[in-house]
Amino acid sequence: MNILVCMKQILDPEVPARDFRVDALRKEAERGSASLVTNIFCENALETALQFRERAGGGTITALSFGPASAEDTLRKALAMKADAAALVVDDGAAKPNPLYVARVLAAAIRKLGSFDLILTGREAGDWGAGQTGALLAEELGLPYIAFADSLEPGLRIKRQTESGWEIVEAKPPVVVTITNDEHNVPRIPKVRDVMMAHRQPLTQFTVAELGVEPVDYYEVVELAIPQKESRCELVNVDVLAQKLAEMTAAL
Amino acid sequence: MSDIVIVIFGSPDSRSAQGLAGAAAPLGGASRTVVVEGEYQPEPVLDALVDACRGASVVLLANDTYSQEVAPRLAHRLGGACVGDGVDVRMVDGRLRVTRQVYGGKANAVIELRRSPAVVWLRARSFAVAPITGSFAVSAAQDDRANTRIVERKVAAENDAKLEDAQVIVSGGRGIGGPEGFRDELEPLAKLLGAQMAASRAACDAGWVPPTWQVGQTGKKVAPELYLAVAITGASQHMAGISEAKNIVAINIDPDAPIFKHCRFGIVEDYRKVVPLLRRKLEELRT
Amino acid sequence: MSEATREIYWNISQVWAMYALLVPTIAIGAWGIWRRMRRWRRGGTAMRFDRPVIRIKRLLDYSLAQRTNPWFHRLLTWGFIILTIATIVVALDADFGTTIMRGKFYLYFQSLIVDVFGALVLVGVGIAAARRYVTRPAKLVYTDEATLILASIFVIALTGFLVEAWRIEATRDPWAAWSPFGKLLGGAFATFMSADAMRGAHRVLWWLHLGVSFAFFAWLPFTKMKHVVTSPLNIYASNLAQIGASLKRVDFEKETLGVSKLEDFTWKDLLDLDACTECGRCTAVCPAHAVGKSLSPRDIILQLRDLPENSSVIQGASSPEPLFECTTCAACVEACPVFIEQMPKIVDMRRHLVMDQAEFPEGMQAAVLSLEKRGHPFSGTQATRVDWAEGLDVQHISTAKDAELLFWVGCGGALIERNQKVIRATAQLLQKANVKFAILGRDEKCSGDPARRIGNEFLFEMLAKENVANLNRHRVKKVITPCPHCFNTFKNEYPQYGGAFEVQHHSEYLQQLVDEGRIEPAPQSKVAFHDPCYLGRQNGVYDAPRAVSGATVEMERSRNKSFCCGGGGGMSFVDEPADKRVNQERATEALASGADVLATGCPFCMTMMQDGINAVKGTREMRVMDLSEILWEAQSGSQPHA
Repeated sequence: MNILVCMKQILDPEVPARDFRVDALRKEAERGSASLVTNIFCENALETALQFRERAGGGTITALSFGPASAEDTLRKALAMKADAAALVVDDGAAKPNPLYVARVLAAAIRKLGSFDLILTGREAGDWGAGQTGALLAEELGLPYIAFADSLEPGLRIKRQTESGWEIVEAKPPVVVTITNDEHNVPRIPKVRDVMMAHRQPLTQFTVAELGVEPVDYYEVVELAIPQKESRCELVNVDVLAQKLAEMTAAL
Repeated sequence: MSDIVIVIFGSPDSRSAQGLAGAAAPLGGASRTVVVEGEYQPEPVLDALVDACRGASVVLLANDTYSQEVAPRLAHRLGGACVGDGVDVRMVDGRLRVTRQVYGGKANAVIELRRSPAVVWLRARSFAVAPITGSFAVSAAQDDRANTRIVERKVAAENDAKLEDAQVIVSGGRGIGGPEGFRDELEPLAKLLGAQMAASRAACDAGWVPPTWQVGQTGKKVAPELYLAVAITGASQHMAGISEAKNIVAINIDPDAPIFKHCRFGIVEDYRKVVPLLRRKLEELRT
Repeated sequence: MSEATREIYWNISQVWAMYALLVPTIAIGAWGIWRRMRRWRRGGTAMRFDRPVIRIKRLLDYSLAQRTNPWFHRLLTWGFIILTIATIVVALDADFGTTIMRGKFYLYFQSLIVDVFGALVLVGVGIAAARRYVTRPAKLVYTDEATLILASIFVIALTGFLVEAWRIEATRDPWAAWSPFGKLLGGAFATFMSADAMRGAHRVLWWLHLGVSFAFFAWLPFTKMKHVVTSPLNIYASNLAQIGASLKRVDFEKETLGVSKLEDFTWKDLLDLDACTECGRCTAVCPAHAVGKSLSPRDIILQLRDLPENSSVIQGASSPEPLFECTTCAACVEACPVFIEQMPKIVDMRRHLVMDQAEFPEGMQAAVLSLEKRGHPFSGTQATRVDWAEGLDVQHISTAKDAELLFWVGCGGALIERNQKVIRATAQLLQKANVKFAILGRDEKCSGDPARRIGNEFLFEMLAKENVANLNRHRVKKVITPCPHCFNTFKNEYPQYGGAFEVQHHSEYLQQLVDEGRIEPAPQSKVAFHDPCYLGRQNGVYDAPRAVSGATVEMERSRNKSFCCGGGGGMSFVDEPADKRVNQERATEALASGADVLATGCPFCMTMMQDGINAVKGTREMRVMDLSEILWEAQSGSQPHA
């Protein structure tokens, strides 16, 4: 089975709130001294793909990213984790990305890269958290779609989380699946040897122009601001806390 | 005149359905409420909703699994645009603007949808309730040609009641140290308080508690009267899931834990010492 | 009276039989030595023969004078050496026609000293036996081999005495007084044995003495007794640098990163294994072992020693679990009487697990991931690198052209809120003394210490090269840091990456400022200083932090014998089982010292000890403070950081 995993490089979600600034004009976060990292759900997706390949006893995994040239780091890490191939669509910055634009770029790149049975994305990214890429990609490619999966079994049984439990979905490939985290798909740590090798592996590169994708209107961020809310915490002892808890729950 | 459609999976009497009606009210109220009946299957349900929502200018959904799964696709098929996880909606110059948290809760964004219909899933329980009117059901006809099919559904035994509807939540983090801490310390406390149990992502990822307990940016977004955070440091990703909680109370051994910047009451101490005392005290107060 | 001497083969005939027995003795013994030497030679290279004068001095101190060994062992060693020399003298006179065994030499050495040391060997054997079979300390290894060795030495020494005693009596030796113990024993036998009987018994026992001695020497290379040869060799070839400089670099072109098989070690590492005397001191001082974890450096060394060639080393005592319990505190290295380097071997094996297998504890994985992504090991920190400087006029290196030194804050100082107060105190002291200093601020990255100790040498090198390049770009000459881990890395490791900086721990620099009268000294008070492993044991800085903090109390284990806080070697990132926490063991000791304040000089010790004290203090009160905070509070007009 040929699997493609979409991976996004984002501003480190763990940048401390005190270091986090937004550019109110450009309506985006300032890079500051924060690192760029791979979105964790994309890594969960890659891990799920790697485990699926191990269970299925074969198959190829291609990592695909759309982003700045620095997104190469994300793909090298994917190769180190043992993806077979990687491709980068370099964002020339001509259009401010929105979910539909991103889905079109990815879809165009996927068509160029070949045919895939399984296309995985993370459930959402730790920056904008739109949670739409997978679904729109499925629509652009005309494929069925399953969200919030956390593991895949050969024969294509998809286990996915719901708010009250889980479901098993049987699917006929090709299908687009978004991956969420669970205890079993924590991304593996690559071996240092593989990290070293990954830097020598070839990387396919496209530009948006090469893919022939035009900017598209979808939505626009009109305001971006850091909420101001810090409440004063009253430190109390156990007796007082018990009293307060009793009061707060008494009326309910 | 805007044509607002509400899409509900499950009962129209639920809190989240009424929250959607509440969200629609300031926009002029919903003109239609579509209740999806029968067993959910992704492809047929999407097809049915495309038909049911045709002509709408705004489609509102809740933030359950199925809503999130169909919303972007529904927007795409109707030629519209989608945004999710909204906590506020406004109409400005005929365009819908949705407020939502971004960057893991570190910032708030107002997003204007530039295509019609505007398909939006909301933190439905964060909105005031309004009665549901004019509802009609669509039933997704079984489609044997569909390439996906849900064949098994499992409701986790624990926490049957919806966390999102809980009034009181006792939640544990990485500092709990293992499943025993949840079982032996937090559960009895939750029973005393009539609370639902929840956990941080770290505790869920460690496998100590089921993933359905996860609260945070990428877990459940909850809005209880009381959120008791035990051994949770309070990273912004976690706080993003409890931003609507009325009262946050924290027990943490680390005085510098960020959770203390967000809570009303706190105790700096090992939860293993505090929780047993707290339980005893609560029992005393009860009698 | 004729010249003092004795007849060498008195009462012995068919001496040829002795030579016949000598052939297999030498053959078996030589084969035994050769097969171990062949093993050492299969290891990798190591440079350990430079600076011979220092090495010879170390040999004299630790091999001959046995500075670190108990008395009973000195008796055994010295007795062994003297009796061996005496035997060689006999052989020379008998077979090479020399006449050494005459006159005063015969009387003083060959008779008196040999007689006395023979007796002392018996005393030594007695004490050793009492220890092994009566007091039975846990650190010893109780093997039949050890029993047989002790029995052999006893038999050899005892038969030697009996042979001597009967000869003295039977020959009415005129020089008997020079062999007091032999004479005493002979006199005792004379009360019930005839001269003929003694003569007959002498002959039998002479051969027995010879037989047991030969057998012992042939057997020696196959037992821990080979340490009589390997330990001196090992002491001569030991690491002359500070322990902090003992980790090796990794050749990334090699097929294996780190050590997975015996042959991946250096020849010196393999010699280490054969030098082990099974004394168990390493395990006795190991903090992980002390709190009931599975790590035992002694068992690792013994297991490696007994593995056949080409074996995988990752098993049993050196499985991943014990290997990742090591805090790299190097108490084992310090305790070893024969200079075995246990801790660097543990890191070598970790390297293989981390770099080739990617198999290591979750907490350490998170630290490594964060180091890769953010240049600091704390995932999820809400602090920033410059939070501590709020309200202080602290200059970034790029804007402080006249800075005389760089204040290297360290991640543990900048990003753990408790330690930010330490950094503030240090910075304010520097300001008070009008020291022109600068910081790297947000450009500072982890020194690489946790990566290196966890076993990710690749990541360490990346961080090291980046930091060195960054500091060189700013033309930094002098660095002070409140983190002993950064201190060690700068001092012992960065020079290999082109980073030639003069580095001082803040305790050393602050002491200078106090000595120069630029800041006020802290009063002597009931402060106990907890030696950070990477400051004290691994780099020999003991006095400055005590002076700066005004410490007057010592904990039971201090200075080079200090007990780790439990946080080194990446362990501060691992969740320890609640009942096996090194910091609580140390905190209990700190409380027992009776001090009011526990001082430290390391951000990791700070958090580990604070947690430990909180866990075990009960109703007692004990403040945990950095030495700089104590000094800052002693400044007139300073505001204590509440």
